[in-house]
Amino acid sequence: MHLMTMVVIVALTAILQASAAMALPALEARPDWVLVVVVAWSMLRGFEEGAALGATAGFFIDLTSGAPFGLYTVILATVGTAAAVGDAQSVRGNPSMLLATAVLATIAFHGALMLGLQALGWQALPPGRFLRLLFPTMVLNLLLLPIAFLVSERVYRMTTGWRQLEL
Amino acid sequence: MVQRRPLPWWTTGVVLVLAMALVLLPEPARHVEALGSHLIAPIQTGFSELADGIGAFWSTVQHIGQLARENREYREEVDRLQAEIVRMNELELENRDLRSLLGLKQRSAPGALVPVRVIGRDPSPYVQAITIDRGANDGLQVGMTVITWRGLVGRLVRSEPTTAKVLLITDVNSSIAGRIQSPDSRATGVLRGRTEGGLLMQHIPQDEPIDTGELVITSDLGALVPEGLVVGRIIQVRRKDVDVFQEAIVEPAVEISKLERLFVISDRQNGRSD
Repeated sequence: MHLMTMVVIVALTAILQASAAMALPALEARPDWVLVVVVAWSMLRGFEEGAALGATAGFFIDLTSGAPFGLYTVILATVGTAAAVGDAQSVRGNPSMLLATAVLATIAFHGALMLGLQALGWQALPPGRFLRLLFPTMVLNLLLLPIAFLVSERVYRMTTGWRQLEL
Repeated sequence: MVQRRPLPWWTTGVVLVLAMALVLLPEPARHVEALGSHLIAPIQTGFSELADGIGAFWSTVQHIGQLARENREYREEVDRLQAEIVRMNELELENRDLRSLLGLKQRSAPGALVPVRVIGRDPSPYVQAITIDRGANDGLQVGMTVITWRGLVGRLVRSEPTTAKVLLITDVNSSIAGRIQSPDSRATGVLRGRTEGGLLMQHIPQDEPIDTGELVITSDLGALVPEGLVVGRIIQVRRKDVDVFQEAIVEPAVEISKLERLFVISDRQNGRSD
């Protein structure tokens, strides 16, 4: 139930991200809403659900993108799997873990996207231009991840009937 | 937390293999993509209309005085343009008669125009592409040219039953033949998207006199796009004596970030030969 809820949320987020991009200038940094949601869920629920949600999210981005079909599905499934390393228990004990995961996930996602495009015969951005886009995106994702983590926790609690033990 | 591991671990392997299959097996993936695009098209159109509605309302409230003034100016402009159309129709008839006299073939018509709306933009900053609200069911095919009244926008790279993807001319992977429209030069070159935005016109012969402000139109060299569509204006010329070719930076005539209503040239007749 909770995973299905998240699938609907990431699907709508992916479509909304494509619609919202129309209002943003081209070739400028923008937050990766879908990536942030996938990473937050993976940290909360582990690599199995992270991979499943990442693949679903990537599939919906692929449907809205002009990039080779399947590229986002592979990348987000992989990032969703790997992001579980920074699991929820560690994050609660050490919040800087959340920030480190946001940075690493953004680098992995954009780096893989650039390499994937090049491998499939697309011309990629020059390194300087890539870095100028990457760093602001990283900051935006870093700001969004704590919010996404809290929202994911709330969604999980609402959909599973989880209650805090009252002493 | 309860149910810490609700999915078995091996599902991750299955998910990753299926994801890889989408990239490595493009033909079956096409069917999946067609089905998925068909399903999300109504939601995408809904979001897009909502965003357009909010944007239009906000813009109207902000510029209501300016809009009234512009409306008066546009009415005068419409009158002037209608008179111009009458004059151009006369010139076209005259041109047709003269071509017949000289034994030249008539220029092919640009083809039927299918009006389309933009319903999404590529979420990645690395790919300059948009999604439009019509596809193969309306006769749109890969390779068709997309324009606005101002000029060239791009070409269709994927066509699903109800939607299609357009690669914009500003994408670094876009490449079309262009011609400078000037009385002194009819030089041709290749127009490519720039990572910094705008277009770069390359392979212009060094001896061709080109200057800033000159108009660039499409050329039918390579037969990728119809000839004579406005692409943009030259804003900078890069010329070095040691190079064989010179380059020009071109500002697109179309405002790429504000695309809304476009046209697809659906049944282009190739083969102008005069």
